[in-house]
Order: sequence, then C-alpha cells, then structure tokens
Amino acid sequence: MIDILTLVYIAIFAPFLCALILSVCKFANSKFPQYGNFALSMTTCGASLLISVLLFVYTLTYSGYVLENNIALCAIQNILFHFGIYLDNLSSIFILFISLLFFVANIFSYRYLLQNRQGFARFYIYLNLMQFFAYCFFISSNLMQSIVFIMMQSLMLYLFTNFYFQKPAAAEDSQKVFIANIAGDFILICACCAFLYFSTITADTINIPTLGYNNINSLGLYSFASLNPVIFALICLLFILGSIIKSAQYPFLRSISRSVQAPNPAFSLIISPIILAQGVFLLLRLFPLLNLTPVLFEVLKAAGILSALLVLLSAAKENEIKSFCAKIAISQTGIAIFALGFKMYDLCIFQLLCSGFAMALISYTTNALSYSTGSQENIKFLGGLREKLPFQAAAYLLGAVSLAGFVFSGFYPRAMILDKLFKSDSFIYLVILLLCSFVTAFCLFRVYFRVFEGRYRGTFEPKNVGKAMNFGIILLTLPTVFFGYIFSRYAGGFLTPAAGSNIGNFNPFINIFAFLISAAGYYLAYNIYFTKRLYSVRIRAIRRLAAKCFYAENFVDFITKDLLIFLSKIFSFFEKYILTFLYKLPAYILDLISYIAIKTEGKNTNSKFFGIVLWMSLITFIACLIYFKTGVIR
Amino acid sequence: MDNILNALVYTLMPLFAGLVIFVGLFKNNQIVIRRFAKYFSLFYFLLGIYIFCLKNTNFELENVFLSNSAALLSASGGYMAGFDTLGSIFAILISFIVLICFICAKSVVTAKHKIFYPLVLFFEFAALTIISTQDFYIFCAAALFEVLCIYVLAQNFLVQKNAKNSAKDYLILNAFFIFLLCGSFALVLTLLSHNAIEANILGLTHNAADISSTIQLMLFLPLLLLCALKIPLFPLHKPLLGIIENSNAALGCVFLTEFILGFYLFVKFNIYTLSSVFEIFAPVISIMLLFNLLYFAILALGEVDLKKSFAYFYFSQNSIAICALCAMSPQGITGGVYQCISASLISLGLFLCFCFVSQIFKTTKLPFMGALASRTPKLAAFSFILTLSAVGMPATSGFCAKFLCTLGGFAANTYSQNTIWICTILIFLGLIINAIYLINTFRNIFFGADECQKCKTADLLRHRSFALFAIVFIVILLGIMPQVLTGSVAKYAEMVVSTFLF
Repeated sequence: MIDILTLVYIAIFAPFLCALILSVCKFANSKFPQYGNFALSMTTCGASLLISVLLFVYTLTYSGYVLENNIALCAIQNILFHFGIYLDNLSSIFILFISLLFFVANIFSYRYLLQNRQGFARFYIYLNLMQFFAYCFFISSNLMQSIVFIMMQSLMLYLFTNFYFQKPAAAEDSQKVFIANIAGDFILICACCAFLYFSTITADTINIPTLGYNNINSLGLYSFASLNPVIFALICLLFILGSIIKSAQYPFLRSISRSVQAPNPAFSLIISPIILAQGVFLLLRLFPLLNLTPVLFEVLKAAGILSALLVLLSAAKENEIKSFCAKIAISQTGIAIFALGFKMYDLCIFQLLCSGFAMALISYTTNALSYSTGSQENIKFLGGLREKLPFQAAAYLLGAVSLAGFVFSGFYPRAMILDKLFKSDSFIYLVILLLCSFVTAFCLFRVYFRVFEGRYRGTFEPKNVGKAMNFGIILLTLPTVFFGYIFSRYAGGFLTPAAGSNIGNFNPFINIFAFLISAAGYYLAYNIYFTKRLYSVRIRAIRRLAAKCFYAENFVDFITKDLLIFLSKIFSFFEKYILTFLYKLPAYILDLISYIAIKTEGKNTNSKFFGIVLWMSLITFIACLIYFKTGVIR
Repeated sequence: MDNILNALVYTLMPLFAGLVIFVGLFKNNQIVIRRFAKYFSLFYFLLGIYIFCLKNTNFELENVFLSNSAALLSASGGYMAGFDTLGSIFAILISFIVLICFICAKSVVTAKHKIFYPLVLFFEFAALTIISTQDFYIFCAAALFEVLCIYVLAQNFLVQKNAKNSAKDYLILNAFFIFLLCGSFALVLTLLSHNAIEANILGLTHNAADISSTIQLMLFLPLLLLCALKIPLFPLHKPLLGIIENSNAALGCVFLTEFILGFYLFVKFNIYTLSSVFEIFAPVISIMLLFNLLYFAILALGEVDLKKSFAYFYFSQNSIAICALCAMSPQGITGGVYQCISASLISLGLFLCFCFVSQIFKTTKLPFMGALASRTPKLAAFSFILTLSAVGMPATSGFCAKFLCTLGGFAANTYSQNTIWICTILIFLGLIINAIYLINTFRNIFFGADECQKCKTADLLRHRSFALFAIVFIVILLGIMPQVLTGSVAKYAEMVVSTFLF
C-alpha cells in the first residue's frame, strides 16, 4: 500500500523525471516522435493531477491535517538545509490548482507547437521543469527552499520568454524580465539571510529545519523580542518589497508583463497564480511574521489597491491581447495583496484562486483565438469572431462575467472583501475597489466587443480550433462557474488560520451597488465599442498616461539604462584621463627633476640637492630617535 | 612516504618540472613539451587532492602539511614550510587553474614553448611557496619571483604595447610594496628574536598580540597595499586591468590566479595575524569595497570591449569576497572563502568563453558580435551555465557563495555592525548591476543581429570543451554539495575568529 508521503513525492518528481527523459532523448539525438513528447508529458501531468486531487480530498476530509517530511541536504555551521514538503490546506489547494492548469497547458501546447513547428522537445522540457519547480515551491517546508525555487522560476521565465531566441524582441524582453525577477529574488535572499541570522542567533537549529514554516511563528516572536523593532520591520519590508516585485505590482510590472514573447500556453501559465502569485504565497506563509508589525499591512493595502487601479487603467488602453491578459491578472493579484493588507488571509487565497480560474479561462480562450486567427494578437485586427467561434466567445464571456464580479466564482471574493471593508469603515479603499470593479468590467467587455462583435478586420481566415482545445476550455469553465459557490458554501473554514473565517455571508446592499458599478463599466464599454455612441468621450489625458503605463516602464528604464550608462561614462572618463594621468605623474615628476638636474649641472646644483637630501635624512633620523625614546615602539 | 613527500618537496615539484623543460631535455619538441607540462599538471593536481583531501584526515588543523628542514637556511633556524587548510585548498585551486591554462595553451601558444611552459610552472612554484613558506624572506623572494614570472610572460606573449607597459607597472608597484614589506618584516624579525620567539611567520601569528599596535600597523599597511594590488582595489587596478584586457585564454588563467594569492595573504596576515589592527580598519575597508563593487560593476555595464568589461566585472566580484571577510565572523569568513573560490572558477570559465568568442569574431568589441547561439551551441550552453552561476542561480556555486556572504555580513562581529549590515544590503545593488551586465553581454554575443556571416564558426574544439566542462562540473558540484568545502572552511574560519580580541 502506497502511503500518502510517497504519493506526494511521486506527484512532485514525475514532471522532473519526464523532463529528464525528454532531455536525454533530445541530447542523444534519438528520433523521439513529437507525439511521444506530448504523450509522455500528458501522462505524467495526468498522474500528478490525479494525485493532487487525492491529496486535496485527503486534507479536506481530515481537517487540520499537516504532512511534513524533511530530507537534510547539508549543514553549514549551525544552519541545516532541507528539501522538505509541508502539505497543509493551503498547499494542497494550490497543488490541485497547479496540476489542473498544467494539464490544460499540455493540451493546448500540442496544437500550438504543431502550428509553430519549432522547439517541440525543448518546450516540453521547460514545461515539465516549470511544473516541478512550481510543486517544489508551493509544497516547500521552509523559507530557504521557497526562495531557491522562486529563483528557479525566474530562470524558467527567462527561458520561456527567450523561447524564440531568433526574434530580437524576445531576447530583449527576456533580459528585462530576468533582471526584474532577479532583483526581486536578491531582495528576498537578503531578507531571508537577515531573518535567518537574527532568528537563529543563539538558537541551536541543527536538528530542526532551518526557517521551517512549522515554527515560523516562534522564530518570528523570538527575533521580534530580541531585535530592534525598526530592524525587524525593515526585514519584513524587504520581504514585502521582494514579493511585490515578484508579483509584478506597480511599478515593477515588467517582471511578468514583458514575458509576452513566451509561447502562448506557457504565457497563460505565467500570468496564472502559479508564477504571478508566488510572491503573495510567500507572504501568506510569512503571515505570522507580518502580523507582528501591523504598520506593514498599511503598505500592503496601499501597494495592492494602487497597483490594481493603475494597471487596470493601463489595461483599458491595451490593444495587444496578451499584454491585456497580463495586466488584468496583475490587477487581480493586486486586489489579493490588498485583501492580505486587511489581514483577510483566507479571502486573499480565495481571491487568488477564483480570479485565477477565470483568468486562466480567458487567457486560454485567447490562446485558442490566436491559434485560430494565425497568431493575430492585436484586437484592432480582430472582430466578429462570435459567429465563427461561438464556443470561444461564450467561454470568454463566462470568464469576463466572473472576473468582473457579476456572477459565478469572481463574485464571491469581491462581495466578501467589500463587506469587510464596509464593516471596517474603510470607505476610501471601498471606493477605490469599486472603481477597480468598474474599470475591470469596462476593460473585459471592451475586448469582448472589439474581438467578438462587429466585423472581422483580419486577413487570415479563422480556422477551427479542434476538440482538444475546446476540452481544455471546458475543464476550466467548470471551476470558473462553480468553485466560488462550492468553496464558500462547504469549505469556508478550510483556509482559515487560527483567527475567525472571513468567508461567509455578505452584505446584499453593498453588493447590489457593486453590481451596478460593474454594470456601468459594461454599459460604457457597450456604448463606446459596440454602438459607438460615446466613442468620442474617451479621456485623452488618462489614455496617454495609461499608454505609458503611468511611466513605470520609463522609470525602470531610466534607472537600468540611462542613469547607469551615464555613470559608467563618467567613470570611464575618470579612468581614461584622470587615473591614467595620476599613474603617469611619478614618471612626469622624475622626468622634470632629471631635466632640471641636467639643465643646472653646470652650476653645480647637484651638490645642493645632495645636501638637502642629507639634511632631510638627518631630521628624519632624529625624529625617529625621539619617537623610539618615547616608548611607543619597544 | 611522509618523510619524502613533505610540503617543501611538494612545492618544489613544479620548479623541477619547469627546469626540465627549460634546460632543454626535450630539445625544442613542442608536442612533447606541451604534453609533459599538461600531464605533469594533471598529476600534480591529483596529487594535491590526494594529499590534502584524502591523506590528511586532520584537515582542520592549522598546519596540515608541515615540513621543517633544519639543513636548509640553517643560519636562521632552518627552513619551515606548511600548508594550512585554506592554503591547501588554494594550492589545489591554483594547480587546477594551471592545468586549464596548459589545456587551453594548445591552440593559443604557437611559439616559444620552451619559455611559456617553464614560466607558468615557475609561477606555480612561486605561488605555492608564498602560500606554504613560514620564512619572511623566502616569502618576499617568492612574491617577487612570482611577479617577475608574470612580467616575463606578459613581455613575451602579449603583443600590445599597453599590456607590456601595464606588466611593467605591475612589477614596479609589486616590487615597491614587497620592499616596504621587507622593511616591516625586518623590524618584526628583530623584535621576535629579541623576545626569544622563533622568528618566522608562524611565530608572528602566535605572538602578534604581544607586538605593539604601531608595528602591527607598519606590517598591516604594506600587506594591505600588496593585497589591494593583487585583488585588485581601486585605484590600484589599472596595471592588472591592462594585462587582463589584452591577454589570451592561456595567459588569462595565470593572471586570474593573482586574486587567489591576494585573498590568501589578506586572510592569513591582515585578518588572522593582525586582527587587532584589522578590526579598526574593517568598516573603512568594507565601505571601500562597496565602492569598489559598485564602481567596477557600473564600469563593466558601459564598456563595449568584451575583455575589458569582463575585467571590471571580475574586479567587482572579487570585492564581494573581501567584503564578507570584513564582517570578521565565522560565517563571513566561510562565505568570503567560498565566494573567492566560486568567483575564481566562474571568472576563469567566463574568460575562456569570451576569449573563444573573440577568436571567432576576430574582435573584442561587443557591437560587432551576435547570433552565435545557433552556430556554436556548446559554447552557448557553457557560457549560459557560467553566466547563471555568476548571477547567483541556485544549484551553482554562485548561489551558495552569495548566500553565505550575505549571511556572514549580517553576522558581523565587529564594533561597527551597522556599517557592515548596510554594506551587506547595498552589495545587492552591485549584484543586480552585475546581473544586468552578464545578461546583456550574453544576449549581445549569442542572440540578436547576425554578425558572424564571414567568421569561422566551428563549435568548441575537444580540448576547449574539456576545459570548460571541468570548470562547469566543479561549479555545479560546489552548488549542489557545498559541504565539500564548507565543512573544512568553517573550521578554519572558527580558528581564525578564535584569535580575535573581542
């Protein structure tokens, strides 16, 4: 009988094994068929999905069940490094979510790669490695492991964005993505090292997992008690900053939004919470730590909601459908961070998952559209696709309705967050969140009307997307419709830590109001992009600002390019002229002295020079003698 | 066996091997000379591993491999030599680098074989003598001889006038600091003899606390300057920069070894022996190193010459290792040593890759390079792994090194902890700039516009592949199993820290 621990290890290492087999086949130049790659990858992914369903059911059945297992890797002084698993409610639900999305990604990838005819084996190797790293991250038992695998995901982001490395845009964007991510990783490493040192400054941790999540609470309390509160807050702030960069929040959007050059199925994974919400997941794991410094929650609130609003405004101008999806996903993650800022731990996860399912549905639908229209990704050149692709239009509409918070899964987290805000009298945040709902609805329906209504503006005749892709979309439709209701009704306490649950009833009055606000967003989009009655009311100033993404990109570009290159030029000038001159100065002085000596040789000046040197030596000797006599030197 | 194979014999072996080639035993047969030198280096490297890792079970002791020959230098109490833990690790590293140098020399050194191979072996002998000797004047003589080897190598095998001038500057500055050091050593020698203490480096190390701080300072400053020249630190980097930017794959290996020697001297003398003075200087040095890191990282970013930008990057990486030492904590010293080894290996690999790339494009200017990935996939793969390691990706030595350095920085043990903490946090700025540089360079060379239509685009030759594979293997090994090194280095670090006064 296989025990639960073995099952977990099988689920984790199956994708790694698959990647290994595919790599060996590729490097051995064996004629492994394209279908073989797909079949192997699907098999391992299916097995992982099956096991993750079992694990989820297991943790749901045995409420409060935590499976922990650690394998010691190495010890450096009193720090023991582990590879471990920590399967609790949070990780089990995320594992299920990851498995489902990777399964769908595998389905979509085959047709996509057949169309592009490039890098078949390479894609599946990357995909399986990404899945392996995602599992290792979400199931990790300690902070160090989380950070190691968060860095590995940065590498995968780079590899996927640079998948079509012949394209100059891919090479450039991958560089930007990698640097933004690595900056976030470095900040996290810095925070991790500081916390590691200060939390284990006297404790002997040789026998327990270093920075394990099972004792993060006590470690936090210990370091909070022994440290200056400002330093402790700074460490937490570094964690938050790193997480915000990893979650691509404003103004660090490029860590995710620039990865549009990645292959479509991989891009859908990147903008799903698998990659995008890694930072938030880390914050969730470090929740006990953050709880000790309440002031930092204000940072989370402000960063989350402002990022959500600004990115949404930017999405309202976006014509590239992949960038649009990325921005909507980033804004939804911003709302999750905002929820965490109000200490709504369970609502944060709920928001991530509900919006994650809806977002996955939308992004895979757009994948299908892209496949159908010959990689056309600009909404200016699409239109009228409802008649040609009715199933995809319905799926998009379903995702949009859910994400805008009208009905289905997307409705529940928003309703509960609004209810909590209403009860806590945070009216400013409530208004901004309602504004976000308005803009979300506007953006989603703008794209719907541009892509599915009107007349077709493309040159390539849309083709049928095939049953496999439709099956993938159906797989995502089910959770998008039912997950929110089922979870809030039957598993409300599943994600709740020690404090009371936030998932439950909500105020109908405020939600009717929110519904009307979203409807207003829809109505505006309808009038501008469908009937075109209000086409001239588009506010130009905001559009321009949004097009520049509120200068976030320019700001980061200014730092990484202009400022550093300017400094480099100044330093180069210093090196080339000033330092070189300083190096040559002794030689110049010697030349000058020898020149003077030669010129004045006739006047017997040499003897004078000799005299001066003699007198100076004598004075130095006497000074040394006095110095020695004072007893400083024995 | 123990009587025959002692530290002195081990150190002298490259000298004899070099002499065998130099006196003309193989006449002028290039192939025989190259093979002899290569196989000797391989044997010497394996011997080093056998002696230091397998034979010595007490690796953590201060003098792992000691020899005391009373017959030699009998006037000054006999010649004493020994490798401590760090010295033995660095001895293995140096012999590995020399092996890589000889492997790469196959297609680089086409003339004057009879000079090149002996000189590199003499250099190795001098470097190991610096590490192992306990005698003050042998130390100074070996330091001079080692720089002289570099000078002669540069004069004979570098064609650019700038490189030859830089080598001359490097020799003069080194000689100046070594002569200063000789004076300080003379003073210390007199003092030790006066106090009836054995007048050698070991005696100085164990009795440094009894010497007044003024004399310690007189010893500390020339040593600091000598290390600053070898590491190198601003503004003494100019000569080494001139040499590295003009050197080829084989010679570059030798010049990169200078950092290892500088680092070793810094740990052995400035931190271990003269800890009381170092404690005063630690915050200032750490701020200088932070400046060094940022300055060179920014310079590397804007430089269009591939080898020159690499040299700047290399200098900035070295600063991290020394900065970790300034924390004066066991974690810091462990991290510093790890970073030193990791940075040396990664820089060596990257330098070889860049040299091969320059050969393919027949230029060192980055704007004239591009789209090499599809033509030389092996080279691209090796470069990518080394780039990732230099950035600090997990499963490579770079990650462990940076992690340990950061941890060590926070574990600062000096009176000015806050300065070290701030420097540790700000080091990440330099690391981010370095990452930008590395990824930018990688993209410039291997992706982008196709600039190699007319150039020779054969992938790596077998011997070059082997050299890069060996480096990448060690880099990944140290990344996956850091305990290979950290165990012994941590004990060494504990020993060093135990001598601190606070």
